[in-house]
Amino acid sequence: MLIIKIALRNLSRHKKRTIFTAIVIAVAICFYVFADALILGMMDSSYENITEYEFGHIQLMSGEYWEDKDDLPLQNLISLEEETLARIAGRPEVTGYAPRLDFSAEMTDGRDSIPLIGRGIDLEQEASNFRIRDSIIEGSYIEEGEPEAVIGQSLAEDMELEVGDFFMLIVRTRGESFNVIDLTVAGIINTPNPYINDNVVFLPIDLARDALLVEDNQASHISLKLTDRELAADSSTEISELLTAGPASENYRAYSWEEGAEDLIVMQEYSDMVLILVLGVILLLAMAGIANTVILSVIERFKEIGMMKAMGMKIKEVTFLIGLEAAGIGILGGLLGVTLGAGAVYLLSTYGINIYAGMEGELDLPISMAVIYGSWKPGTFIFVFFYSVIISFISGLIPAYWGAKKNPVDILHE
Amino acid sequence: MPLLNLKQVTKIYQQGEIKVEALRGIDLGIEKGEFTTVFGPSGSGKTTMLNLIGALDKPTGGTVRINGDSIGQLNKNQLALLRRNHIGFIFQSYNLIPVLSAFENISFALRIARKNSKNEEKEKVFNLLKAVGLEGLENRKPAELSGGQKQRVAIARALIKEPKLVLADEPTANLDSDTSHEIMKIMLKMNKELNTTFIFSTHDPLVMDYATRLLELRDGRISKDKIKEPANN
Repeated sequence: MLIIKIALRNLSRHKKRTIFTAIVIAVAICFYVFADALILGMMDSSYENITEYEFGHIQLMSGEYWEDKDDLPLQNLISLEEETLARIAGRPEVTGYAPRLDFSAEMTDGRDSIPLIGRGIDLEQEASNFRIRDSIIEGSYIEEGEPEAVIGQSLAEDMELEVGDFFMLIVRTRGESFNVIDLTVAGIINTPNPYINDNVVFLPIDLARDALLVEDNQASHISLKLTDRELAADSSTEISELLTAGPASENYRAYSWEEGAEDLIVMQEYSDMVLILVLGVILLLAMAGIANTVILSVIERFKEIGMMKAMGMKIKEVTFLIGLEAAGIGILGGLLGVTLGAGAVYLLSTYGINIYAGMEGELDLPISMAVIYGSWKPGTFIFVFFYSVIISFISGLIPAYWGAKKNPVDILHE
Repeated sequence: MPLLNLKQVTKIYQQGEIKVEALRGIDLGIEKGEFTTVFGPSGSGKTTMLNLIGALDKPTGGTVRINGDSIGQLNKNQLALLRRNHIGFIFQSYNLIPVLSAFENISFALRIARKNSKNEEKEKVFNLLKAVGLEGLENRKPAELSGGQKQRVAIARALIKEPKLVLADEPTANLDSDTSHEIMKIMLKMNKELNTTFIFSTHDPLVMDYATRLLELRDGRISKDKIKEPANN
């Protein structure tokens, strides 16, 4: 189309001006896609921490327990019939399950003591479905039938415990009496989840049940693993229906990991909003640059505009033609920006970045303290490219209209 | 019915507190195919009159009819359509689009008018380039053309949509006399072949020599209206 030809050729008439304005847009876009990839990588890593080391994809528990779960009560525990559990475990998206018994405890070695969370685990199912065993850096996993425990590296350092050392867990039983569990450190773990490393002791669930006077088959919750964490929301709804219809319908429900990680998800949404706001501010500055470029172009081409109007072009047609040039700057800046951004995201996703160096342990959130790797999201590139083109076009329209409205009589006879 | 009919046309410009009467009651009829020159001293109103005839502006009083339509009744978009379909312009500073070649400058006028298919357009443009003596130069940009060549492109651009009327404002002002003669001969030829009406605004006696009608304006009125034989027929 001739109009597009005119727009493109006019852009190349003033290369420096065009390129400079396009660079401003490109920098804004590059920053946005990089930051988006970084935040996405952080969130992905954090979600993985939650699903692989803490919550799982779905947790089955009673509604009353969910309400008080932060207090780690020993009431309203879950106990499913074999048939129901088999039906749930047999669902195509479910790859495994592991019952856990969580309780408050005080760890002591006779000299020092520290409050923490005890987690009774089914050794085999926990190892099959979660990554505690894979995270052992010293010693070994708990042996079946042995009074052993696995603790986090931070906890071990705080309590000056090594593999083979003895310690005790002082607990309050279901009957409100005190009890002690004697344990040996079998292994020390270091997971990407600081919450696990700092606060949790893993021990055999049978040992925990005996000490806490909890019945066999009872657990705080049963964690399920799925083939894909994206399935958790729908799957938990269906499993909840199954549980309420089943024989043991003691207000049991299935909760997806998203319900358990609400704070983190809100944080991500907030970060996304802030990022878009920052992008908006930067592009606003770019808009000023584009408007300036278009004004200069219009002033230099008053006679040309007057001639177009004399030839019969309407104001809106002239405005559109000039607006196209602004869009052209947006396209140039957009292409440059997504190319640079792709390069930056590639480096981030390949080599990662350690943004928490020196802050280990200071954030009480399940945010990965390891090196963060960026995550690709093609939608971001597409969105930001078209956003910059549209913003550029709009920012060119006002000066374009100003120029197009000029009286051709005044322009042509100057 | 004349192609152009001006009846008691006045045009008043407001410059701050002062009112300037550029035209003070013009009565004029111009037939199809005329080759007319409008001349007069600076401030006589000839540019204003041409702007009204060219539907670039509207009269303050009286009526201007182009092809029967009164331009006073038309809005800006309708005036633009009138110019698009029926009026061509030629200016002393050519006003070609610098980023387009000679071919593209001419076909741009046709695209705006949306009169032909692409193939028809190509043929028409090449024929007109040949008619104005620019065969072989179609791919040159205005910066690569001489003044005379640029004016030929402007003429072709004005004529490509087969307008009823062509308005030329000092078309030879930036040209030497030989080139001016060439340009005028081309326009005369087009006038005879296509029966297009030409109206010139000029101080150049050379242009007046080619005209068959002379209109002199003084102080916003027609002071002389003379039919004549062209000196360079």
